[in-house]
Amino acid sequence: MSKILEGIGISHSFGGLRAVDNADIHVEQGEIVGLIGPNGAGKTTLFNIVSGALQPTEGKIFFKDEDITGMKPHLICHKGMARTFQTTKLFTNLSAFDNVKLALMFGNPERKITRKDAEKEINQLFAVMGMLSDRNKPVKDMSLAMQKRLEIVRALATNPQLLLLDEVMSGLTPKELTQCMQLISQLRNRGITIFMIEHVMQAIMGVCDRIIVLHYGSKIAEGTPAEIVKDPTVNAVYLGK
Amino acid sequence: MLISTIFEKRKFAMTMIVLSIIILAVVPLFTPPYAIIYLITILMYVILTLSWTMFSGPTNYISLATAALFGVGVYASAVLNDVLPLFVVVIISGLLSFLLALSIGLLTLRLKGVYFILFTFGVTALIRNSIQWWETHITHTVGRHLVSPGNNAVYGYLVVIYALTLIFIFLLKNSSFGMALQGIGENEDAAEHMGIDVTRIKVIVFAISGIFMGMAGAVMATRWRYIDPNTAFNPLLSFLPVLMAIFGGTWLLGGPILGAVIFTVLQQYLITEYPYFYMLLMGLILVLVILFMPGGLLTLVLKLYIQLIILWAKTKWNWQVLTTRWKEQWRPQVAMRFAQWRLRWQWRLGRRR
Amino acid sequence: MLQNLPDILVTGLILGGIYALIAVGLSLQYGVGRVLNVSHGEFILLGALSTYTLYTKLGISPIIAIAIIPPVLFIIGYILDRTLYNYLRKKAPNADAFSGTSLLASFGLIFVIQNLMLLIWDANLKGYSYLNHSVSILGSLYGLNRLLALAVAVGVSVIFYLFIRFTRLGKAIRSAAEDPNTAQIMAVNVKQVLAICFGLGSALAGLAGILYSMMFELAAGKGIELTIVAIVVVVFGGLGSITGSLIGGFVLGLVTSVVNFIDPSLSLVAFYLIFILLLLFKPSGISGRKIHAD
Repeated sequence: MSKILEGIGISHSFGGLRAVDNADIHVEQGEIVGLIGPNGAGKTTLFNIVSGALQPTEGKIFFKDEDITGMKPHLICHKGMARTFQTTKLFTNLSAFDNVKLALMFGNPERKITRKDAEKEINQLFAVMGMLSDRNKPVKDMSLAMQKRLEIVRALATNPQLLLLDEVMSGLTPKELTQCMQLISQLRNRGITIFMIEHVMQAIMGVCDRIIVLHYGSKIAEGTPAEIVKDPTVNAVYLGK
Repeated sequence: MLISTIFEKRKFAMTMIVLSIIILAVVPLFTPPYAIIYLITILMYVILTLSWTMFSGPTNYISLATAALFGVGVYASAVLNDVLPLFVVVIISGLLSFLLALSIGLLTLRLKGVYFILFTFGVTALIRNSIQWWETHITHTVGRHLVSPGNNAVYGYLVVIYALTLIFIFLLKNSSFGMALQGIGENEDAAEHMGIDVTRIKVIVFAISGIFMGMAGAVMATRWRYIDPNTAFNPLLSFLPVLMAIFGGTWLLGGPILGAVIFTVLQQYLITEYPYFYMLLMGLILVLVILFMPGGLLTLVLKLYIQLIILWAKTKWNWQVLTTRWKEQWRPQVAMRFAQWRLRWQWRLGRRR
Repeated sequence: MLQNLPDILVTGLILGGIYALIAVGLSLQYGVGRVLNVSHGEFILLGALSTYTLYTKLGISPIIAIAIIPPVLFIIGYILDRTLYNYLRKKAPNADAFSGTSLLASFGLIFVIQNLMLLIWDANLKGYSYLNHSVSILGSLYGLNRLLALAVAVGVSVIFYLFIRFTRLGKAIRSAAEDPNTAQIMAVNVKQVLAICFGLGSALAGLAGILYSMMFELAAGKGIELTIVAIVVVVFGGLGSITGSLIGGFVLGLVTSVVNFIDPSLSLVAFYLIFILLLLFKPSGISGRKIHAD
């Protein structure tokens, strides 16, 4: 398996605050990798650096062996990376369908998509997520769980090979949680690599192949769920044992 | 507010557009000759407000450069007035304003929105000062005269520019570009992560909005017949379109037009009665609109309309049902609201002691 | 030009002081309250015109005016923030919406204040001369009024710099300007702190106006140019950085003095050229601070 994502020596400072400190991360193609750490550990900052929303003050990022450090987010998206956001950033003035349509039209610049094809594809995407009946709902009327699913649909519309999920499981009921975990496995089976920030331990342990642990911006541990649970540093810092 | 899509449906918009153009073209035949001067001023503001709304409406990037883009057209027209036919001058002016807007956009729209606003704020003064300096020191011709093709021709040109502006906005709104623009206004980060080249779209739309402003400027210069840097780059022309658009409501086609018509009429009246007072009033109105009517007049009217429709559906205007409703629901609601309001102020004032 | 150097320097420092006061005022309002107060220049002009009237009609010298006008403008600014901007803050669904509405409200205020000034004073150029006799220092002649303005401008700037750097309240304001969330965590009464900062900004504008009136001719329409100066200096210093605005003010004051020596009508052009260069190469200004890091 090749490394689809690699970050070497990534650091980012906000003025005097060092949010990410010399982090080396990598994700292999086809993996589901989890990123955990206490609040303020720098997880979303790392995501922002990977997706192009932020430029690292030091370090380099490689996506599919190409240096994407400092590249603008829309170009990174065209190269095959998509993400969701911790606080959902949906277009509330548009319907769910239009949210996805925008992503489809602009996330795939190599293809010329006609209106009919677009409709078909979008409906397919909604069906995969089990949201076909909700596709014309206004975003404002949707529950949080549905909004999070919509964000995933929107990300999928850009045909990504790497999907970054930022806390998609928070605020879900146990049933929704299991559904979401199943969904993530399904996505991996369709060939999408997943890199996810999560606080919900059950989800992380149940679905991830590998876990990276961040603390005050540095990587303090990395390994399979079984290894992480036993790691003494992680236990001291995060799991509270 | 998806109920509003009734009014955004294409057929409705298209008929209204065509209707308005026809009405405008035909109106001068039925009105006394001096009314056309009035109509020219109204049309000018309508075009400016529509052009401003084209970009600043959906994106919320507030452009304060309208006077600069308009003024460039005015000046180009004055310089080329006896050199080229008006038709060509108008097109060249549109192009020049396009280039100016393009430059401003390329410079500022790749950065945070603050920079755009701050830059456009002073750009009018900058260009005015520069041209004044140039004309004083180099060409020695402060103030220029133009030959007018006659008010009817001026009016005709404006109707055409109005039509072009409106058609362009209509096409934009109904394209994926228009939707992307709205997305950018709502959440630029998300839009960018979806593969939308936000900078490019912003720059292009802003640049195009300048075209119509420049063309209008070129035409209006011939109407005024004498221009100098101060009349061409009048900061009021940056202010009034903003006021008109916000007042009318920026998210529908009709909003800016309504705002422009209402305020031009208001301005023409006030400027004769209270020449020193009316700008104060306009500024005050903008502040009040921002405070209490941020969606604009059209939003207010729409909300009222929807409430009336719901009421009709529930009561079908049955007098008995309405009176019982008043007695049992509305009057106590109003009374309770008022009591709440009174209590809140009593508490606030009481706390001070 | 060499023999004019001390003159250019003195003018530069005076201008620098005035610009620093103007910019710091705007920076306080934008950095802490997140209000893009484009009517700042009108406040400056208000202070300037008031000084003119106080001196020519009531015989109150500009020195005394320093004790009168800034406090009055502080109160006006404080009330404005507590009522207008606070209302907008409450109603806005997010920070971006507030920055839009507050800008538009400030924009509307420009025309309200400008027209009030036109009504009270008229549109003609005004000026007065105060302490116009010259004093000889190191062989060159300097106008006493200019020396006074220099002393006040530099003095207040230094005091303000010390305040913002070393006092507790100063540091609090500075960090609140860099990260508005801090203001919420620190301040017991957020509304009060925001309004005080806004009022302080208006007071500084008034002070700058007093100094400006001592040096230049006034006209009711000059507010916009003064706002542009404030904007360019603040961008130069870095949006949100108060010390940046202080330093930037003096730097750009000296630049303006040099440009004025060559051709005074080119100063606005020079300012905008600097603005353009900043936008092209270093929009975060000399302090390099990135605004709203989130």
